[in-house]
Amino acid sequence: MASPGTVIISEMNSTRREIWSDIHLYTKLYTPEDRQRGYFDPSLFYNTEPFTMRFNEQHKLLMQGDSFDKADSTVYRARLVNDVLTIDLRQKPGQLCYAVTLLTPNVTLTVGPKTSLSLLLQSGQLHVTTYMVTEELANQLKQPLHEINRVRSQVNTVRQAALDRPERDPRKRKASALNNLSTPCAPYRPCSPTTTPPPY
Amino acid sequence: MPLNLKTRQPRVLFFNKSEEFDPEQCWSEKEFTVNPNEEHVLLIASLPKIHIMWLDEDKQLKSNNILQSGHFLGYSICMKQQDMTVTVGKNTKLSLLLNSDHFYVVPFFMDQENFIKLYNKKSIADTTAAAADPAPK
Repeated sequence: MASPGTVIISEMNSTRREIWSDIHLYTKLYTPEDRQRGYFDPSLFYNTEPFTMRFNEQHKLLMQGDSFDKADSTVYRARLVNDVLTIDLRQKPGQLCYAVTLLTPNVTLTVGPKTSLSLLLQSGQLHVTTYMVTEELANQLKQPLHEINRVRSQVNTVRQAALDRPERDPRKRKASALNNLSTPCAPYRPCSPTTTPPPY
Repeated sequence: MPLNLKTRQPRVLFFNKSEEFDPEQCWSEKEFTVNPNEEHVLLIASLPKIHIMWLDEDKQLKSNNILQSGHFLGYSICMKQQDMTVTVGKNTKLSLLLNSDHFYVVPFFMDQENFIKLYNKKSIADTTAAAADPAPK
């Protein structure tokens, strides 16, 4: 496990046989003094969750956040018309994202949470390809992670509710039942004629 | 006020000194002045290509051939205020320019063919210099 804001390179001790890919979301970090920049600056984007890369894996790095944040990585399609640059502002713009793979076969790279995108890109260990995706595709790529986060959030809610109301948590019921073994039990009464009563 | 240039879209080259695109590592090729009536096109040389990714009919991710084609990044800038000009010195960081808050900035991408055409267009500084100082015979 890497500490926040760090990239750790280590010798590979396991590998996945299949070609494997994953998607990681980067969020723009604001400081009180920070103002909106006029350009996309990878050093301002940070991952929220740690991840580990192996050699045969491709990881995609996408920007997320409000439309205000995403505007940083937004670019418009342009072409030359009669030798004049014409930027098509009517078409939906694209978003920049990255696909990264490890350069060296026998290492793994672990990225801690809250590590800047620029630190990762400039680690010297990655083959980086810059991609342009539409906003729809970006949303589709992010969807599985949203789904995971939704399920995680539900699990956390249930867990918290169980902690708040221990009588509804089956684990606590079991624990409390075990704790009560020392207390005298009520006499056993079989509820079914087929059940053999335990020996006294 | 500097001479009002006739070309509406002077192009300016910036050289990227990083492996990845980083405006902190892009430096202007030469000095240039942005007047209120101009749209300057900032092209970033020695920058890795950008590829397009899309979903095909089978919902499989596809991208253009990484080795062959690709797209290039640039910026179009215009002055926000109409009563001033901005002169940018040689070897100035792109980030400083974009962050100066004096310009409307539109990032764009274009295919290789268009990029090369634009890249090979003589900058207005070259044209002016050639006209003022013709090469001796």
